[in-house]
Amino acid sequence: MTAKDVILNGLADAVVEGDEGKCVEFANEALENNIDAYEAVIKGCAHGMRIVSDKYEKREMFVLEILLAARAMQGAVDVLRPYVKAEEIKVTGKVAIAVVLGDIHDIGKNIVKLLLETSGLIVFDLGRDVLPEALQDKVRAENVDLVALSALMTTSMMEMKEDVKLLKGEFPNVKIIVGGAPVSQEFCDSIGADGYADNASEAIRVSQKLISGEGGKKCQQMI
Amino acid sequence: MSADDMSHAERIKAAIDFKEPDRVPMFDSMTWSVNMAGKNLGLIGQKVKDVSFPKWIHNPDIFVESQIKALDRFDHDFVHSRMSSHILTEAMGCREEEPYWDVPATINTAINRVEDWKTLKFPNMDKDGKIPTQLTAIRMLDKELHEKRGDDVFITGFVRGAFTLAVIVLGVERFMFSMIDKPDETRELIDFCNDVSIECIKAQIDAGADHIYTPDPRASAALISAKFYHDFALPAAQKQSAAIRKYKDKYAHHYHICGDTRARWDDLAKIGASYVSLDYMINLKEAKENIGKKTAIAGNMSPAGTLLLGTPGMVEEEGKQMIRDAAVGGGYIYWAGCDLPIDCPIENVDKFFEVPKVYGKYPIEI
Repeated sequence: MTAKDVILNGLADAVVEGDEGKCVEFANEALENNIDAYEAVIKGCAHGMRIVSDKYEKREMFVLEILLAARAMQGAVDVLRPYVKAEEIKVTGKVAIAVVLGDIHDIGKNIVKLLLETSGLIVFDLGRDVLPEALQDKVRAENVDLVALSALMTTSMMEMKEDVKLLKGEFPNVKIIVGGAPVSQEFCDSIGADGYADNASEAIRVSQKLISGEGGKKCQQMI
Repeated sequence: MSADDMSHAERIKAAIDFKEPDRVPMFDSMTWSVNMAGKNLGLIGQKVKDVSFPKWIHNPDIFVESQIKALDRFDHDFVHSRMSSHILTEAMGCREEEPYWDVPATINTAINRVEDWKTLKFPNMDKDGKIPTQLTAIRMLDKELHEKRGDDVFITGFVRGAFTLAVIVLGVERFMFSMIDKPDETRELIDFCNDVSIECIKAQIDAGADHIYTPDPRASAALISAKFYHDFALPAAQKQSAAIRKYKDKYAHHYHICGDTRARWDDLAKIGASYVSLDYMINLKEAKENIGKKTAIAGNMSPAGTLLLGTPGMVEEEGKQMIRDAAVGGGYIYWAGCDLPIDCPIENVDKFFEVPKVYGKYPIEI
């Protein structure tokens, strides 16, 4: 294993461990050893977050560990960011994420947002209790590729149907993914959404698939 | 013993004691009972209601009448009194939103740093938030059902588990980091929330509640690992449960936790609760053979997939399977995996509460 590998693996492991101090140390070490800052972000930080995401899906990690990993990663990214050359950053997909109208439960949405960002997408967070018109405005203004909708309540889940109808009416090419405790694949199909995920990790995979398919912009890593 | 030989309370107590009652006891219709208020029953699925959710929870007369109508129609063994998602957070300094047609929800935190728990308000149970209204409803239910009718149906009081209450007043992300960065202060916050909850529990029991429902959703497996549950949430749940049972009796505590709880069943059995209810994704047969040997369990029909979006036939099949999986030998209370969605069609709710009367008579033979 080369010195570079040791540093990049160390950075990824520090992200997985949620150790912010170690992350900052490895980020500085990467710069001192002339490792490209963008490569350190991608092969160190983002790789670590992918491991965290996989462990979350296998129930080896939980929301707490995701938050710790994200905080640790941010420490490294803050060190590396000034050294990343702008031309290196690849074109990414754009996602608008929201908790639907009538629902203020945003824990799940925030976790999905975090993992979407660390998987290389530009994410516009519209927050919770979001009007369908606000979604429409954002898709129009930012040329969004994917809309991610979350609902925890069975009452608000029904709002997804309205959102899908409105969005597909104006933007037939925009993909829509739905999720949240009461939502199921059957429900997703019944309202005409494009994708469903029953956990945050799966949401990232489905989102990337929806964005990269059918002429969408290929998903790439980013800071 | 033939069905309906027992009173509501006798049936519940037998099940909790792992004896076979006359039939499987049924938990109540919780917030769905808002549909029994005014002319709401004819308006299920429609946007405009006769009695809105805020009107329902701010008018104990309307609220209590609907609970009694639900009891008379479904003959479940409990009646409910919950007025809000987190009855105590508003009284501790958070703001609540009251949607037209949903349970009120807390929309901000009361503190921004865990060490600020000392600034939290210890609520006055007779004055603050919706607690007085909930207490009034319990007193009215006690008078109407226990006193006038001589019906020993279990009146259900409600507070959150102390861990969940602490997460709500501080905020999820801040709380998660606090468990790592400031564990001692985090435990102090949880303990303060527990003291508040126990005071509220005692007030509800004094008002006439027979048992207390303490859902603890922020301690679920989606958010924290079994280790953090063990270190932070379990001691809080044990303290709360002991206080409930000491103040009332061994039948008085219903603990609920959302999500896939399998990795923490050993801990859930150690809480001391009268019974633990399980979310819909749990296989009840597996639960019966594990945690169900140590504590009575309740659950767990799929709230959205079956009760809201399914048919009466699907409700019947899943209900029968639940009874088949968990009822033999007692130790089982029939319920949904979580609260009944308030837009469940009446046909499904009727069928839900009919199943134990038809298929849940002991000895179980389905």
